[in-house]
Amino acid sequence: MPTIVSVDDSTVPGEGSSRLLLLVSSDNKHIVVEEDIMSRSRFISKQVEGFEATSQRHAILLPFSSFVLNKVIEYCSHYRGYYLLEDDPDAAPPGRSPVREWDQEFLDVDRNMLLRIIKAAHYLEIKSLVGSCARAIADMIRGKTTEEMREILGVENDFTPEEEHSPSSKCTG
Amino acid sequence: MPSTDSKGAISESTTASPIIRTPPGSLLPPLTTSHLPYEIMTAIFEALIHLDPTGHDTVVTRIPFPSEPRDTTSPNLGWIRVTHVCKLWRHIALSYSYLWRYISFSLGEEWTAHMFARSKSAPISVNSVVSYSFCKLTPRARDLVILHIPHTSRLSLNGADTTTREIVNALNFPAPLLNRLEITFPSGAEYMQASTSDPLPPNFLGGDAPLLRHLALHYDANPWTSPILTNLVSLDLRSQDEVPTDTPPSLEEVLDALGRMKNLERLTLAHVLPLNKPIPLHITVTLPYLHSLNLQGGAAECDGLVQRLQFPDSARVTIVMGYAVGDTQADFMSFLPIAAAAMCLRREQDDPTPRPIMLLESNGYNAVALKVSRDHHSFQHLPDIDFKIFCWSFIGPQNAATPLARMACDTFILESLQELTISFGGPQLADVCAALWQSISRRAPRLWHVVTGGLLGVELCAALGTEPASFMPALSCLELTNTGFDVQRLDSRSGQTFDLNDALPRWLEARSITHIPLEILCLRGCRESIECAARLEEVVDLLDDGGSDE
Repeated sequence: MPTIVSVDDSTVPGEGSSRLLLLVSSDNKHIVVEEDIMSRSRFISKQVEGFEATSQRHAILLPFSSFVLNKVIEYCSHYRGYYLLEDDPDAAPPGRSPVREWDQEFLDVDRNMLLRIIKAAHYLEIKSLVGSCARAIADMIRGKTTEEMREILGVENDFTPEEEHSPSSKCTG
Repeated sequence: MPSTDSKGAISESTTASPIIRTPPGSLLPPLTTSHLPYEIMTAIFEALIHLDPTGHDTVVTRIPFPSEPRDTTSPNLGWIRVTHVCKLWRHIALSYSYLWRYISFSLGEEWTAHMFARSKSAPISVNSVVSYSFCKLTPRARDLVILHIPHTSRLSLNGADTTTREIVNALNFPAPLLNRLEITFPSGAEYMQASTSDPLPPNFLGGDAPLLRHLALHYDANPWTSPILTNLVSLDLRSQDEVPTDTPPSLEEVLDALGRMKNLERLTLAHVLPLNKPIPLHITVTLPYLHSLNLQGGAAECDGLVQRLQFPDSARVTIVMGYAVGDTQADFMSFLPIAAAAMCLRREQDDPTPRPIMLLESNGYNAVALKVSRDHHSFQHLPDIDFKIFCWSFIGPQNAATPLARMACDTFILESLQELTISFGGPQLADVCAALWQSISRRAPRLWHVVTGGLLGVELCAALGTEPASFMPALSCLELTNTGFDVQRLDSRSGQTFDLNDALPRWLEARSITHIPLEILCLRGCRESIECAARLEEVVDLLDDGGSDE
């Protein structure tokens, strides 16, 4: 569950037409962002609805670093105001749509960062970003042997020799 | 497009440090997939299914069951290899039934059985393509397909085998989730001992497939009286043998069924057209959402059906009216009024839309066809049509391209002719070639693209360099091609061997032609064309300024 703390009014600049949100990363960085930008996140949207009910200002504490949060905000800013089919609640599961060209460039990061972005996107309930990341990760391991998959994604082979070679694993390849 | 200034709206509060740049992930504590939630892993596997599908749709081989000697890195396993990576991945992949919804038969029946079992109650997609006699579906696989129909959302059966036929015959109970159904019995199935003449069984799916929206039957199924033909979005019925069906439906049956498909968007009927028996013309069916209509068959049958369909002007219509094999007496001109009437269209005086295109095409040596294609256009008079004529054929005693080439000679057609391809040869075509040359050299004001070879090509090229600018004023692209596999071709007039690549530069040089007003002159067909092009460059200035060559 997210942690929500009350914050001083002064930490939330502006009272203009575009409302501002204060996001606090796990490394305690305070990032102010327009609500519009983060509306793609169903998690943030639900939090904002909660704020309106209590008429209080809040900061939203998020369990990932400012590095990752900034990356997610960059994504949301890029697609600000644009409808993405994958974000539709009735859309197919994420990962089926082709990765957009901009997303490919955006996700041209190392494995560690990519896994952190998808984890953050999942936490923030941004289906389109989860899908793009999933596709990018799948692309890294497509056509690879199991050993190569382990190496690419840093996965340890924790099968016992029996589990790995026994036919009792029932048609797992 | 979305903003490229993606960080413009982001700022940090006074308590935050200055601008934070995203560091490489290597500076962050390492994260592995074991830290990721179950839902993320399923999303990754889901994406992998589409990038690295299991096996092939065609049953051409099988992968040994794990109890048998095998190569565990076989690429045919596709995404299933994730079950070998670690315990967590195996657990997630085996427990998420949605991942197993694409049932493949290409890995053998043991694998197929496990896919069915692991899909549990998830809507599944069953795709069976049996291409060769040694790739028959096993009785066990057949029984599994039938057993799992209640949660099948997509069923595609393509096989010239008796087992595939047995599946179709056994489906006499409802398919509540079926959304898409495709059945193909390839032609030549006789050697597979499967009968392709049986129509769709009368009680197919118990007449109850409430979610069925896409139906494709590529054999003589004659399904028109089946209740499953209701509320379809796409309907695609084709006879595999490209000959009229032995058991054509009545026009009333077809119209009655189409009347139950008000949401129909795509309709394709190829060689399965209803008999054009006289029925009152006012009996029509309105298909308000139709955007693609493809008909292939006899002219009268095409005409009979189209005249009774009402659909939006924006629909794309393609009608191919065919003659029998080798019918060199086909009268294409008689088709034109039928085609125009069949379009049932109006063209406003100030209609800004581009002109419609009528494509007249001979389909090689074996058949002759008239194809009418319309895309967002309408017309009332034939002069409003742009023509494209493609004559493809080979040297032979019967040449189906001949009547179409004759049609291109017609003054009326030449007025609107835009593109012309003549790709045939042989002494028997000498007359039509000569007539064609005389016609197009006399008047073809809109012809801009010609593909030809032999003497006709050389004469045309030479004429361009000698005639005044009014000669074929629109012609900008000329493709000269050898029509066979050899440089030595028959001169269509004399019956002597004729080498276009040798003759072309020689002719141009002999006539002192130094300039040919074309944007593109393309020499195709063989390696000698390159040498020919080099020789041509020494002889003439081929191109207009600003043009390009090939």
